Amino acid sequence: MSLKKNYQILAIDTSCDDTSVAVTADDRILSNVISSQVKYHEQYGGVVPFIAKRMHLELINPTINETLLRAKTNLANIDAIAVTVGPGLAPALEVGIATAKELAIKCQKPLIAVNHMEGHLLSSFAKNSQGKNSFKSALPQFPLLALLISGGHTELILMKNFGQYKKIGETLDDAAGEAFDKLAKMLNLGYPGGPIISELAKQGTPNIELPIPMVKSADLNFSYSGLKTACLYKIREMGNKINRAYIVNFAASFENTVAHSLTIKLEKAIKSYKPKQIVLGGGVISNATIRKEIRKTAKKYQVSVLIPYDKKLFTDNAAMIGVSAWYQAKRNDFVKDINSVDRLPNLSF
Amino acid sequence: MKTLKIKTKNHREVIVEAKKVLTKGGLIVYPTETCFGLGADATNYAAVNKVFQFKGDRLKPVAIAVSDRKMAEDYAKINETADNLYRNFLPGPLTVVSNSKNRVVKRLESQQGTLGVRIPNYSLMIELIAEFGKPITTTSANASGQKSPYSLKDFLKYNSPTRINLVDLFLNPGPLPLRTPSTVIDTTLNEPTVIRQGEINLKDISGQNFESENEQETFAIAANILNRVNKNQPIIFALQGELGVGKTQFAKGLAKKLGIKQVVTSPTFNVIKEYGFKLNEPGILYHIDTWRLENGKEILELGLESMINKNNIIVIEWPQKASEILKTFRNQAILVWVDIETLSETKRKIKYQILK
Repeated sequence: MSLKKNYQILAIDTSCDDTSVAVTADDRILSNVISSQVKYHEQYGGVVPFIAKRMHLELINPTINETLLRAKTNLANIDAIAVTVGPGLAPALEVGIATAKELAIKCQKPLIAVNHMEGHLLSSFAKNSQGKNSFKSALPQFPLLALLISGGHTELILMKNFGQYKKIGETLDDAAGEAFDKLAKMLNLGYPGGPIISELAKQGTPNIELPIPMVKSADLNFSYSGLKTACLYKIREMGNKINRAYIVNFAASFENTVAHSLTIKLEKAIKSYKPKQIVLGGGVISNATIRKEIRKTAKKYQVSVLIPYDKKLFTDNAAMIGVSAWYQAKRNDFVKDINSVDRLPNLSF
Repeated sequence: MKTLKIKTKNHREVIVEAKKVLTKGGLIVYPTETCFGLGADATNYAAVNKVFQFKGDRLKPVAIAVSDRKMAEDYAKINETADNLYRNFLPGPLTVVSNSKNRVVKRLESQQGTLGVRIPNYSLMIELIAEFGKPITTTSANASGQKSPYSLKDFLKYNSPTRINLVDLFLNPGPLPLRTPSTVIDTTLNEPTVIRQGEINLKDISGQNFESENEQETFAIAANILNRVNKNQPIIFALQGELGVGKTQFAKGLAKKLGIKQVVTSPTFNVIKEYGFKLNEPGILYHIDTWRLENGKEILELGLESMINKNNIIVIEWPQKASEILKTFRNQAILVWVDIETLSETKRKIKYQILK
């Protein structure tokens, strides 16, 4: 089956804190609305601390309307509805799924169930409304290696083709993004930790020795709980002597250590699987040092590194769900029985 | 809109003019160490209203700019975390979110009653706010979702004439360096004391406290404790102990004992994770972390009640927040309170008690 051109998908993601809705046409993003950015001051940056179900219920319909408006389209023009079914927070996922089912039935559109992590993986292939993204080659080259790093995930995925994924490494405890948040907490710097640690790191020197996690393990897994404990001890040893200079150096050292823990495993994966391309996804790739170290490692093996064209696509968003859904639609991966769709909070590759 | 050029020698004139506008409830556009900000008297309803009219989004909270720590204290409740940030990073490109003292126009606050406060690292503005004696709004001088202006030219280009007409005075020192907008830190999320102590003091009861030298031993201790608890009822394990003490390791030990093959990872981000297992009958291990929850009641919204089912095991990290709620389930489940303490970098003391 071949899809019509300009295949419009209304995509919904309520996997965690944010209610996000997007309209895509093929792999192009026409609009991508993230509720935390609509409802809260942009400076408040998507921190929605409480359980999101109530919020999602309140926001989902206004967000859908706003998204259609911004895409200058309407439900009649939409060809399919896509929704994240997991992984994520169960009560939050339920809101998006219920809404998507209702829309699909009401408007008689096909439904596409999307894995949130596949969305992150494919976010580098998303294009803007003019059909551009941040790299030249039009088509992905397989095998492709994806490093997905966020507040909830740290994983290495081998992609042989669209729809063919294999998880080859993952965190055994904390995610890399979470480690940033927890360090910020230990240094009493508030939440979210990622942006402030990387901001502070710019002013510091990485002169504090921290153990690089999993450096000796032969597999491709990650672990950040040991690093977390090591940080706790360093900070405790310093006691009252902690000052601004120490904090910025600590931030720089920590960022460096996390970057290395990632590149060590990335390098191992490159050697074992000889990928033609590397794609990055997830909020932690906003960190410039981590991106730089990854590029350095990839360059040694002459593998190109692709990232999404817009920072907004690094973190959770529905546009990547729309793009993933389009690739699914192309391989005829639609939901057969709408009523059977259920949340899969532990969904994995 | 009037434009006033800021020169090295006319600071007095700038302050007098800007104060006049602010006092009358007008809007100014002013320079900061990041982009140009939109300023209005944060205590004047009509003035703040104009800010929202300009921004075009009526729901987003807007932060305030103050001249110093003392003024901040008049408007926001500064806790330990916030205090740390004020001492180390302000004035500077950082907005500290605290609980509001409700002395500014309510619309500036979030739905949860928090307020963003910042001290711009721009001496002329600090002087102006100090003389004005009240906080002014601080938000980038552009409509919601549009680009932030770094020059008068940007401002005129990005904003419609209707918007520009809302502004009374533009303070112009020339183009500003392109520094990204301030980082925003919410200091209201976790009680700062929580990482230091558990709420429930467990005694050293003989046979109910253990020492662990490493992760493997922690796994074994968790399995041992699970063995000692009667399994004809649902079990709630409440794991207290500071950050990095190994609460997730304990949960991994339970999962291993239950024959769960999946990797048990930290539930901090997802709040809850679930793992199916089968002993005699199938059950579910729920692994919950309240770290990101605003208050313990949210644990009920997660569906705690429906999880308390004969064969299920519920593990809760950071249980202090929800301790009162957990205690109400004592008759339906066995509530095992576990306390993990650090003895050295690798050594842990693990105690447990069944709370009746």
